[in-house]
Amino acid sequence: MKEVINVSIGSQPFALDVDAYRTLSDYLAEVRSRLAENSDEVMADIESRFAEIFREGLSSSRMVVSIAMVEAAISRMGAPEDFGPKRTSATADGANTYSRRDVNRIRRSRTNRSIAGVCGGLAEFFHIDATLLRLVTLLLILFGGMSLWIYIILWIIIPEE
Amino acid sequence: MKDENVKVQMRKGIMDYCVLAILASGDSYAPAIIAELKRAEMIVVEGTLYPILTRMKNAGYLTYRWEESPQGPPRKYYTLTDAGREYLASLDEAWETLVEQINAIRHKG
Repeated sequence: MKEVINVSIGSQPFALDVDAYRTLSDYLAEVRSRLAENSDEVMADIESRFAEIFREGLSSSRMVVSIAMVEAAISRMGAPEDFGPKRTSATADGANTYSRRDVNRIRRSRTNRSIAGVCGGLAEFFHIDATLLRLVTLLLILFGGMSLWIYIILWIIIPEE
Repeated sequence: MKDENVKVQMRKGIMDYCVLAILASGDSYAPAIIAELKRAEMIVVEGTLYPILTRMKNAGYLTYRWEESPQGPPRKYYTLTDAGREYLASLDEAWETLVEQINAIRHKG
C-alpha cells in the first residue's frame, strides 16, 4: 500500500505515488536551476511533455503514476546536467556585492578611524579630508554646542563596512 | 577540452539550424521535432529542445499556435516567422561556406 498524491501536470490531473512525486518534483527543480532565469514557459513545456509521456503509459486516467514511469520519463527527457550548468548562486551573490559596492553608501570606515570610523566614513562618502572633518567635529562638540550624542547616534545608525 | 566535449559543443551550435530547417519544411510540434532530431541522431534526450524553442520564439524566429490534438491536451505548433526564414537562409550560407573552408583545408595536404 502506498500513499498517492494528486497533482496537476501540464494542467492535467495525475495521481502519483509519493516516491514518484518526490522524484519528479526534485527533477523539475533541478532542471529549473539550470535554465536561465524566468524560464516559466520552458518549464511549462517540459511539464506538458511529462503529461504526454504519462498519458501514453497509462491505460486509464484512474491509474497511478509509479516511480518506474517517472524514471523512464526522466531518462527520455535527459539528466539535469544535459540542460547545462547550474545557475550558481555564487555569481548572483557576486553581482550583488558588486552593485552594493557600486552604490556609494555611507559606511563607518574600518581603515580610516580614530574612534568608530564615523568621520572617516563620512569623509569618504563626501570625498573630503577625514582629518579636517574630525577637527571640525571636535571643535563643534567642544565650542560649537554640538552634542556628543550626535556622534554616538551616527556610530549606532551607520553600519560598519 | 575532451573530444566528446568538442562534439557536444559543435552539436549545440548547429541545433538552432536543425530546428529551423525542420520547421522550414512545415509547421510542427515539439514531440514531432524531437522524433526528427532523434532520427538524424542530433539529440538523444528530449528535454533540451524546449529551451531552444522558447529562446528562438523570444528572438522572433518562431511563433506558435495552439492546436487541438486527437488525444490529450492541445499542442503548441511552431511556425517559422519571416525573421526565422531570413535567419535560416543566413545559416544555410554560413554552413556552406564552412563546409567549403574545411574541405579546402583538408584536401590541400
